[in-house]
Amino acid sequence: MRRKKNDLHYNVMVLPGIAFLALFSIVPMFYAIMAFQNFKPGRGISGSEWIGLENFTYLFQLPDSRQIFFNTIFLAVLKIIANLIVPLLFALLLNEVRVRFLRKWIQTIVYLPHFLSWVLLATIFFDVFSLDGIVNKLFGVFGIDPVLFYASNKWFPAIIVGTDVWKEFGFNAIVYLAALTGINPVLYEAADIDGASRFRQLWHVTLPGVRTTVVLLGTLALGNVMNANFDQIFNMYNPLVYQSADIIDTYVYRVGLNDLQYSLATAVGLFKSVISFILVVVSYVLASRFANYRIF
Amino acid sequence: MKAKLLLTALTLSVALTACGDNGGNGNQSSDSNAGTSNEQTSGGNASGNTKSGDDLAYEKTAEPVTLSIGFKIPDDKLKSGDTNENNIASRYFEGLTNIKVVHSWEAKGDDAFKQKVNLAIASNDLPDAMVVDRNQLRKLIDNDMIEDLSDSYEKYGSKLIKDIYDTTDGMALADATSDGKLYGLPNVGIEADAPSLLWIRQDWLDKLKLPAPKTMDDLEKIAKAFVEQDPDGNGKADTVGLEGDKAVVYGQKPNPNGFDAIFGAFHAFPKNWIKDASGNIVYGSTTPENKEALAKLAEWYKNGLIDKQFALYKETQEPIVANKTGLFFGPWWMPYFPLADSVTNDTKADWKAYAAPLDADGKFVTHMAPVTDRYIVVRKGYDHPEAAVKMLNVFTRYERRQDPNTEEVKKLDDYAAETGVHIRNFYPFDLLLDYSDAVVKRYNDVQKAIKGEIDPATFDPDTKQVYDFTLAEKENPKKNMDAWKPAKAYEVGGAILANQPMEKVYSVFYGMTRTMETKWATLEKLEIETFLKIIVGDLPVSAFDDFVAQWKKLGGDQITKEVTEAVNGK
Amino acid sequence: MVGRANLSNRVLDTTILIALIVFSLACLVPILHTVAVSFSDKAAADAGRVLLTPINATTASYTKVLDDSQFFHAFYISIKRVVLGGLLNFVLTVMMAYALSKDSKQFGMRNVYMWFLVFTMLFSGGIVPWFMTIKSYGLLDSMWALVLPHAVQVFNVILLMNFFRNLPKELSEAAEIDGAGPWYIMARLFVPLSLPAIATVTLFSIVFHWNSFFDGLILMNTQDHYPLQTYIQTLVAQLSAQAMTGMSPDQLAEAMAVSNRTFNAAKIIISMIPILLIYPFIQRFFVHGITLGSVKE
Repeated sequence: MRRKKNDLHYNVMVLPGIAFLALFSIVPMFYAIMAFQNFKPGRGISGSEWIGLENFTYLFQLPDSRQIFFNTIFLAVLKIIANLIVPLLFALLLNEVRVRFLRKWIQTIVYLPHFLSWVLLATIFFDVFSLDGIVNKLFGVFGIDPVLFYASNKWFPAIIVGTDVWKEFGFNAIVYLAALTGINPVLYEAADIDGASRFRQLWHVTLPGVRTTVVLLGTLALGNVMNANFDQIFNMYNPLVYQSADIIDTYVYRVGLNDLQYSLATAVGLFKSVISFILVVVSYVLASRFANYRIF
Repeated sequence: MKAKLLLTALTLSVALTACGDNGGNGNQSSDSNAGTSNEQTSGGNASGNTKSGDDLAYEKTAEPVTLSIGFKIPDDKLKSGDTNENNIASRYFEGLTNIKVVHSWEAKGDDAFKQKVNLAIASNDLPDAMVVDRNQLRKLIDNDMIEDLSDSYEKYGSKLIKDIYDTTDGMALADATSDGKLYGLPNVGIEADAPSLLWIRQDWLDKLKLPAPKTMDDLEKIAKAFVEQDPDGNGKADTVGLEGDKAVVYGQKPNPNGFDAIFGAFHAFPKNWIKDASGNIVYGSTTPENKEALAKLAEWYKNGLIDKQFALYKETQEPIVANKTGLFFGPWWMPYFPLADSVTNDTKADWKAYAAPLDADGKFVTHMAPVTDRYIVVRKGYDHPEAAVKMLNVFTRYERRQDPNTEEVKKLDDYAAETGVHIRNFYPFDLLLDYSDAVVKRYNDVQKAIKGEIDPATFDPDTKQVYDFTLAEKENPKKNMDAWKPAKAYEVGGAILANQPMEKVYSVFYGMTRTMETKWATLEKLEIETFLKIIVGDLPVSAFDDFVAQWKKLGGDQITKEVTEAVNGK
Repeated sequence: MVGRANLSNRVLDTTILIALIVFSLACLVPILHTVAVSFSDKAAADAGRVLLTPINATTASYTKVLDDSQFFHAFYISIKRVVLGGLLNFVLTVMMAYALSKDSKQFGMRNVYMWFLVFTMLFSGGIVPWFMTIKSYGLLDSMWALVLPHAVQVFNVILLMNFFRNLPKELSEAAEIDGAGPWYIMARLFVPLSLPAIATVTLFSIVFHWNSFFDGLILMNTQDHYPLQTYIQTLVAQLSAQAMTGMSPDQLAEAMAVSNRTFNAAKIIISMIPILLIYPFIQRFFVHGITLGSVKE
């Protein structure tokens, strides 16, 4: 009896939020069925001609599409890997620092970029990587010829990944730092008594202590394989590097809003959603099976 | 992309500014057309039966009418109290017509404006009237979303706008017509805007003792010298050679830094539909001549004769304004922008224009531009389609300096002089009508007046203004940049257009076909990227052949067929 | 022997410290550079001579920003958005997270809702359907278009929910025996105990609202309604060229004196300030909050 009554309360608590989600995430899905139409704005969804999967088959014929899917996955995977390793490295280093105020200051500094928008950062980085920018100045010191970073399909992906890591590594280290503090101090004391060097302690105590966290974060990141970060790339790219940096989201934006191909753009976006959803389900299953972790 | 589109908007508006500042007197221009072409006949007809028409055209509507529009926000700073929606210009036009213009939405910059229009189309929520481009017009016609304006135009169109449309030989209106119905009121551009001239820092050229360029080789030598011989004499190797733009070529109306003239010299006409030697219609970007032009540009880029950074500037004019380059291509109005800024930054800068490089036979070859590229459209179901026509009537009359309400006009002029605000930026529609031969005619008139062959007192106000500015500039060079701009644009740019024989190549088709609608964007992207990559060396020149093959496969062949049908069907 | 170990330890410690300083500097340099540019004069900035210290230090750019009413208007819109959006996020997130932190035995529909959340987080119809939806609600060009679609931040809900789940079960059981209802338990028991996590999700939602630019670009019909980031986004692409056209020589000269590089840098720095003022002070909370919200013991 009691349980049933609470059940009602819980539903009431959830429903306002669910209503908003339904209004702003589910309703658009009805408009998104234009992906299966030759959508004519004048006639609306109900009056437009149904063409089945034609937009999708056309999508796969486009030479662009292979490049765009490749770019998306390539950039996203590189980011996932770098965003696992660099924060870990940083956390391991910080964990060795015992002076409290120093720890705190370093942390405050490295968290900063996480809170800044890509609109601002893109402007800043455009300056930093320009021909007379700081990076090229630094190159000059070492006698390296200046590089046109923003025009180079070789460098630009590295910039995209690098600036993303730059922005997030401090913040991503939080979880690692927590895992590191969670390691039982007795283990270190035992290692000390055995006369193990700090490197051996790192290898035999610290790393095994964060292994599950790394695996878990890696698994959870699987859901992001189709997400290469629209905000970042939209603000940073230019036509010269479409080849290496045009991703699904930016493509959808251009095709839909600049080229008036509403149906095609929607089809691309929908396709991406489906893949993402599958990946998240897979990562959910993997995480609960191997790490015994329930994301939600 | 954004930057490019923006720049297009910007320079277009500058171009129009350039022409508008000197807009011709309608009667005089159409008089001068008399005898030069048979279009005069139709012009004459129009003027014959529009007397009562003009009464209608400028008549206040009996009841107040509300007209909602999409508005492109200019950069001008109005006096406080005035807004984009309610200002001295809007009040004046409302007073004349009894039509109240309200803004459904506003957007700043061409890119943002285009997005707003596209979203309005997608959601089928158009303002009562707005300005659209060719692509959007086609989409709107296809979707039956806009009014047939044939009757409104016929009944309410003023003599002036009909005259101007007539000078295009019916091309302007035909462009906005589908199945015999007129769906949009097009702008009319000036022919002079199409050729891309070679602009050179003459002071650098003289300093390095180089002759004026004629051939491709001359150009190459100058570029090399500008890179290597420190033309600005500051002891640093900070100058670049030929400037470029990431769009590579503009194809129709060029902005600064297109390579159009290089392609023209090789008889390649990218982005234009042309007839090949055997009379077949082909897409100009796919002809083998392009390959030669690309090979030349790639070689120059590799050798450092083209600015290595050319594709990276947010605004293509940056290196020109900063006086890093003394060599670029651009249309006649360059002195208005960006050259005025270059000279402001370095008063030694002395810019000259040349019709170069010439082709193998010593001719200057250029593509031309469509007479029109945007259109006022009226949403289907709007009760007063004539309101859009009437608005066009009054602001065109004002723009062309034929507004008889001298007192009010003076108020506007004073306001503009006092604040630096361009009244034309506050017309409800960003769409101007100009006589297509305006520039050359004005140049010739001014020159004759200087030689004393014509009395400048007979000039229309805008030609008079150019004349006065030209004299002022001769007296006090580079003192007043507002005088320098028109003086140089006509004296340097206009002179070439008037005196240099040019082989003009017209595109046979400007519209969209059915297949283009879905595939053109992709093909264009492929084209731009291929061209750009070949020039900067990311792809070998031979990649051009792959591009052509792929272009054909991805719908190009089908589109060519459709274009051929459309052209031959006419 | 002990001495040698100490020595090598000290060398190691120093190396680690240097590495950490490099990490920290890497984070600061681009921002310090922007600060330096914002305080430099136009010529030096345009010539790319400014590195980390201002050259010919001047506050001209900041004085110019102060005159830019549009900038401050956008700033105000952003503040308004953050307040409204943050409040709405807070209320909905706490309620949803609390209910969903119950397992499906206590809350039958829980898993259904949960998958619904995940579905909405991942599935989107893309820009055009999204625009049409918001238009159909008549929200275009209003503050609500920026706030309501983001009323629920699924990620924050999951984070707070995991935090709630880690609180000892006995707490709520004891309260229930005392006759407390779920609303009371949520508001009086869970919320006070979860301040770090709540501060964290609130910070996230503030940062989200402050940093969003794209919805402003698409959904607002007039520039007067642009939030700050949208304003800056359109500005950076446009200012340099547009400012130069149609200006009189005087205006032009004046404009040239404050280059866009320095002017934009000043705007960027000013728009960072609110964030800089907030996050260091709740750092302790969000470190704690993220830790407990995402990793389970």
